[in-house]
Amino acid sequence: MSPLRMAQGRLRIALLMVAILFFAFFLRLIDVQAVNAKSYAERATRELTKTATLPAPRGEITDRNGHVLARSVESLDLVVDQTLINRPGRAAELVAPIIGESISYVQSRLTGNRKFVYVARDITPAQWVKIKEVIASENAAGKLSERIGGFFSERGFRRDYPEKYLAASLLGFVNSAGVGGGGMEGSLNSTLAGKDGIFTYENGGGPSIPSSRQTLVPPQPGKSVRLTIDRDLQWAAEDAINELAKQTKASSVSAVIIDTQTGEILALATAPGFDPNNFSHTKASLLKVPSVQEIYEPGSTGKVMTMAAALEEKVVTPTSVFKTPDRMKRAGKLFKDHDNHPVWQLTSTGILAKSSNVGTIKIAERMSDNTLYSYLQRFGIGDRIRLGLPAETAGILNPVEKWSSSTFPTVAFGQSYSVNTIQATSVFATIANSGVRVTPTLIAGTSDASGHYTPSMRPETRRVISADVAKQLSVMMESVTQEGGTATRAAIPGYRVAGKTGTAQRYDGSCGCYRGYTSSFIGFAPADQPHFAMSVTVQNPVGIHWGGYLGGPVFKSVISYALKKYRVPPSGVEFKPFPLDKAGLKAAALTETSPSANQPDNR
Amino acid sequence: MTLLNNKPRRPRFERVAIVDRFDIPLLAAVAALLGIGILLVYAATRDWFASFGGDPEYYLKRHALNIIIGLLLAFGTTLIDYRLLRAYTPFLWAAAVLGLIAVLIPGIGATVNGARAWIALPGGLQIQPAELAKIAIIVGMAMVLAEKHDGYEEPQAIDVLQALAVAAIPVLLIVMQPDLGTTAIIGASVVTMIAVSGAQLRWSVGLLALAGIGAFVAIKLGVIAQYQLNRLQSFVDPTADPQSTGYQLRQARITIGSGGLFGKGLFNGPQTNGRFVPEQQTDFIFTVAGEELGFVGCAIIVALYAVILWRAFVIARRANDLFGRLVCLGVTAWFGFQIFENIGMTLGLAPMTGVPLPLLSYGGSSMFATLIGIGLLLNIRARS
Repeated sequence: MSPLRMAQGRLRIALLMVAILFFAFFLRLIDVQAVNAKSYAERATRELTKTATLPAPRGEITDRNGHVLARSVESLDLVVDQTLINRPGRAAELVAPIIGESISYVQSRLTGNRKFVYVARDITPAQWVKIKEVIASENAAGKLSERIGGFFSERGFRRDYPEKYLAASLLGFVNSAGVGGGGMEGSLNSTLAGKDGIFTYENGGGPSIPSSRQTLVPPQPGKSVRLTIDRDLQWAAEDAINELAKQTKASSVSAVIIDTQTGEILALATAPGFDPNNFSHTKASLLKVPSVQEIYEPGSTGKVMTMAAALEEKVVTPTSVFKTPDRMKRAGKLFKDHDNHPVWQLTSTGILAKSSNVGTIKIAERMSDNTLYSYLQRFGIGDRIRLGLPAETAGILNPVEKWSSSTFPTVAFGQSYSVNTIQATSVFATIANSGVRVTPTLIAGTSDASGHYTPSMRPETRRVISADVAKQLSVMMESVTQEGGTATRAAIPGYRVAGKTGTAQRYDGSCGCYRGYTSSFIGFAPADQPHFAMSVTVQNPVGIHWGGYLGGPVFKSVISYALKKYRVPPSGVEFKPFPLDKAGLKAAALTETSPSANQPDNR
Repeated sequence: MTLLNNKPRRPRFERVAIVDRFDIPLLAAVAALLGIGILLVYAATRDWFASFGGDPEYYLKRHALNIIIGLLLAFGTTLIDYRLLRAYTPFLWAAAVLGLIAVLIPGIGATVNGARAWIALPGGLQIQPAELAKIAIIVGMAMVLAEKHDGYEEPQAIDVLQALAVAAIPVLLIVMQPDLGTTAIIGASVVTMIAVSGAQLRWSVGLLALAGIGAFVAIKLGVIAQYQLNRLQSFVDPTADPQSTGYQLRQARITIGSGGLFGKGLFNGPQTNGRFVPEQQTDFIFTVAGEELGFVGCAIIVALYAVILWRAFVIARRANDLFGRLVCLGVTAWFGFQIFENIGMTLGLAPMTGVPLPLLSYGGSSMFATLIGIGLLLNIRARS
């Protein structure tokens, strides 16, 4: 056989082998792409399609005029899956300069076995693009086995409080999981939070495939909440009480301003405050809202309710005279005024101005337990206001059946029951509003993502005392800020100011005893045309603890500003006080024909 | 009509006769595969490059340039009578061997995917001398086996040994890279050429046995790198090395399978666009066809390769001399085995080796060598 011919034969064998080979390819292709295509396609879809949440932006919290107090800002976080990082050293070298961190820090974040680690919070989109670029170019040049992977960006929202400390305890905070805590952020979390959406995306070996993103459930942005707070008054109040808190070393100071006609809370300030943008190192106690969460025995400011009840029940007039010693025994207990004094002949007005405990008990004794109790109830004592803040207290007012023999005289001068600051302020707002109580409100309304605004329900109102009695009481309370009263430091030139000081012994739960003081001043202005009621409450002041001395100047400075801001005209009608004692009463009768025995004319 | 008939005839060039004698089915199949290759390389890389802001046509442009250069080289190869090529063969062979030595010198050779197979040139260009070596070995062996006894006597032991020496030196250098895929391809060509040269059958059988023993010893002595063992192991058990090699093979299969009968449509393959399969524009280009063109597209591609191999056999059979026939069959075995290795790998029929798919894969050296090989076939066909 010639080589050529023999080659022909072997050629055929080679040809046959090739033919078998190609036939095998066809069979295998049919197997993979026709017979088992479905299972391969399913596996492809499974590894391709991933679902993730689309975070919903949280609603804003604004003041009554729409000034933003809390908002959501889009943010991008840099996250790594450490198990996918091939060369942490090199990866850190590439990424660290972009995010402005040290290489050693970044390397420590990249090294390990955790699948989800934050490397940098709140990076810019440009930084993320740059990171992707440097890694892609590094990978394009390097070997397959040395590719760097595992970098992801987490899109989300960050809570931002543009006014920083302003109204911090009232607003609360949002934790890193996006859940609100503390004030409004906590109690209105479900309203503000919205609902996260879900999207699927096709995920490549590296980045998600462009245009493959499909939203399954769109995120529902949270609703925005408009508060009744006036940012400027809030600021003024905080500024003033921060100073006071520093001076007195008080455990807390709070200030509340209520619009007397609408019941809207214009300021709810707490000192010391915190910065909700960066609250992680803040003491837990500072995150509270003491104005609604802490209760205290109001003390002398509670005497106005005893007086209101007595006037309304017509058992006294502003000029009824009482023989007032500085101490008196009732139910086997000795009740004392805060200063030793000789026996005075005080009018009802004088008793209120001098804040005499003995006098107040004598006035109250003209009424029954139940009568006094029912007035306290109608003023809102022991009743939760429901402002929408978390852990809001109702205060404590025991029913008459539970009163001991010494309870009645104690209640008369403002102890043996407890209130929060809002409740206490509301009593004065009620008197200012001609005896009609408007339930205080803090939330003006909510608006949804499309901007549709829903105002809050109108607050409940009820008459507690008649307009005439309210007027009389208001005049009586003006004496408190006049010469001879306990709160002369609260007087505002040009405006008439009514008010009452309070200095109560403070019940301390930690020892189960009375320790320290709650010093307060609550007033309203202008007394003849009331607009604002404000309380200043100082818990545990060190040193001077007289409510009028501490709270008066704060009231004066903040309400002066409020009157100016709201363009409230100065009082036009001159103040004609009721005489404070028997001597004053006689003098008045001599100089004028018959003014004070009847109703005073204040118009 | 008369006017047209009276038009003066253009003088015929001598060279036109060669072009006229080109094998049309072979040319058509090559052209079709090159065209498909352009689309597949583009499909494999455009989203990937776009995803990090690169030029989506980066690979497309370079691939097109490679094809143009390759076609010029192929055309050049057809111009000289293949019998005269023998004169250049020693130079070609020497150049290939020098290139293979250079590759092993640190600083000149670049390591890609565990093999030191590349010479990095300035401007980001890289050449792979092993591709050039394929042609040098095929032509060189054909020359030795056919020169003395062309057509009248079967090659003697001395000729076979000489031919093996021609192959052995570059092959040893390629083994040192190490590049087992190319070694196997050259081995296939060597055995085929010796078998059909008319040499005693024992040479072919002996070589096959030697290959088997050599592989065994290499594994035992640890000459074969760990990554190569991993590849072989993943062929037996794809879950053995799920993160790298097994992963690639699994992804390749999933990608091809998800294409189904008619595919997802060109540029529409989510697996491809997501770059689940590494090296998809080169070694795993067939998976792009699998996903985007489906069974129909894959079958057409396989059929086109079948046409090329069929024409290569036909040309070999019709060759006037043993030299031409051996060159033809060497090229055929090279193409055939490389196609088998590559497609077989993606389909799970052959172990994983890093060899490109002729005419489809991106890669300059491979493209040039393949098209020169086609040029050789056309040359022999035109002069038979």
